[in-house]
Amino acid sequence: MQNKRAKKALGFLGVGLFWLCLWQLAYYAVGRDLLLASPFAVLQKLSELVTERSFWVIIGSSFLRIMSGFLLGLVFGIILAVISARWSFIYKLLQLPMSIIKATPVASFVILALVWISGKRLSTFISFIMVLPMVWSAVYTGINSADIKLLEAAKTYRLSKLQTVEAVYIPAVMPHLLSAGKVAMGFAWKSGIAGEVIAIPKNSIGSQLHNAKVYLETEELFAWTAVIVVLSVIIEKLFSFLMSKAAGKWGGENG
Amino acid sequence: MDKVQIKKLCFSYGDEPVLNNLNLTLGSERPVLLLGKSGIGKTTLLRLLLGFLKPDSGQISGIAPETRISVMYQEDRLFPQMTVYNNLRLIKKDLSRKRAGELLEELGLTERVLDKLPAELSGGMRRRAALARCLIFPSQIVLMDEPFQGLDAENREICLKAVKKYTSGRPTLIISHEPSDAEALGAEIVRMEEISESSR
Repeated sequence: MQNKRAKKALGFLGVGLFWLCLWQLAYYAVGRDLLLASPFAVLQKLSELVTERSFWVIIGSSFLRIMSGFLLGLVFGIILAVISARWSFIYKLLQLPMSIIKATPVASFVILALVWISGKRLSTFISFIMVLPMVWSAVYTGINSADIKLLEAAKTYRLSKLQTVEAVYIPAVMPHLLSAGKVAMGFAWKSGIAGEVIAIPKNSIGSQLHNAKVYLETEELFAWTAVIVVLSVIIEKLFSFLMSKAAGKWGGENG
Repeated sequence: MDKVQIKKLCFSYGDEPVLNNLNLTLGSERPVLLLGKSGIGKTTLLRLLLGFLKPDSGQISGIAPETRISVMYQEDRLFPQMTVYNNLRLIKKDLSRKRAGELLEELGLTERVLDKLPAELSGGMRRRAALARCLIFPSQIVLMDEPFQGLDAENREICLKAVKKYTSGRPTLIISHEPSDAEALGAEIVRMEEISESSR
């Protein structure tokens, strides 16, 4: 088991080294720091950034804003899906706006939303609006996929509504919610940062990216991008871990 | 509940008649073992009694909306994300672990089965766990659709005894393909062909 893990880690390290070498070679080939920063310069910039208190404040602020949007989308998505499954006219009513939201580019929403709300709240709104239709659609599908035979058994054995939800509906919804939640989490993070880049709120990763671009600080641009990637991986792993716990309880897919 | 009476019951799926003028009485003195070839409408009758299907015409008396019915479906229909014990406790809140274990033992299972999920059990064990749920549910009527299918001879005998014990005094309908079950159950044999015109 340990051998297998070591092999996996070594393989991962090898792949990482390969791409770092390729990046370094590309840097030599381009030969201009302004266009392409070297991996060493980026690493150096990163090591400078992590020692600054403001770095952690920025990460914390962006994280809180985007995750609030994600959680709001999750909660409202579930509530609206339950209502839609109960009353078909609500489903018909919501189907159109949800489809429009799904099809609309993030940038359009960001620009439109900037007219309505402050830049500070924009990333929350954007991640909310991205997550909402995904969760709504997944939970609605899950509810409708509930096993009719188990529902009949629940009815004959006089299960209360709450017991039926626990015994039949939650296990039916969980696999759909877990896979949609994972995708939605990634989407919320990326679209939230994109919103920040356009709205440039104070203490945000997006505004740091924007400033780095404006002042032609390519190393910083790369360093912040690396931060986004690392955070994205961490958040996704964390979400998968929490969801696999829930899946264990409700019998959904792991991760 | 004294008895369930079915009079001149007719049911068809679209243009295809399944039950025609079916008459049957389920008394509380002894169970009825309903025999008949596959596709003759036995399960349809059960679904009509459960209210999942509406008859075209005829009468079913003795079953009110508030009547509690124990059902053993053709499939096990245990809630897959719950252990066997939780499946049982879901329908009988005050069921102690000890009592649940005793019931399982009467069906030839060990107490360890209580902590297993249905998917962790063999087909025969799942069948008996579903049977335990049916028998423990406090009901006025018992309906069973091939409750012993998939059981070996030894376990079938054990389960027949338990069914006889737990269903006594309640109107009980047991759908089966085995006429020999009647003796062990002390049941009256009724052939589908004899009670429904379209089945003849």
